[in-house]
Amino acid sequence: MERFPWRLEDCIEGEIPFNLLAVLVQQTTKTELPYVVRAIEAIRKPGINIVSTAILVDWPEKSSRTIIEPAENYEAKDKVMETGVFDRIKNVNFEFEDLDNLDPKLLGWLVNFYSRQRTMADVKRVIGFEAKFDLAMRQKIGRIISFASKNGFSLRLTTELNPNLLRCYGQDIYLANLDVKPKA
Amino acid sequence: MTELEDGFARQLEVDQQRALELIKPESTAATIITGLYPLLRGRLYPEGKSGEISLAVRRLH
Repeated sequence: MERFPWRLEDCIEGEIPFNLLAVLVQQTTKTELPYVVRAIEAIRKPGINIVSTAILVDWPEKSSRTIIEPAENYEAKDKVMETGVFDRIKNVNFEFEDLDNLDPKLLGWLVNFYSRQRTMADVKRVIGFEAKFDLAMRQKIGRIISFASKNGFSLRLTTELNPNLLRCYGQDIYLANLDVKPKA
Repeated sequence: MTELEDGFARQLEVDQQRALELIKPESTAATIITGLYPLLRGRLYPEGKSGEISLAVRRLH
């Protein structure tokens, strides 16, 4: 993968489209959106042909994951459209087949990662499914974004609290993880 | 700032310096990098060889 600054220069000097793909979780869109908009505005400069896509993901809270049904959140979608910075929106929902073909190395890594943050009771009770669900979602988003990024240069914006989780999305496309943690 | 937070901030600072060394100062790319990087948590991913290998493998298929 060529270095990010060189690819950025190619986009500015040439006709190469710059695909900006912002991953937004439906349930937390209201909080994340201002940070994403600010990042897009930092990149949108004269001479750069930006195609911006909001990847709006239905990613339920851990406590409500016993029933997983697709839920299109129209309020979140409206808020994304109101910003006026996105050219298109793509909705992503969990499907049980997403649990097939999980990367076993990444799954092991994620279980360990979660284990370090929880009590042993939590580890035994929920971590198995939680890690599988979260990895399935991140791998799915990674696949969708790779497919959507075939032309031009792509930068994906995420809002992970811990940047170490970026490895779960794959390594095809550059990832910029926005800081959405309120400053102390 | 916790040790973890401090680590992310240091990584980001080094990443931004390296990025700026690769391009012309005061160019549009430099303006974008200077505007974008302070909004980030942790450096740009992937970093280094693993990204290159992944792309090379993808091109073979």
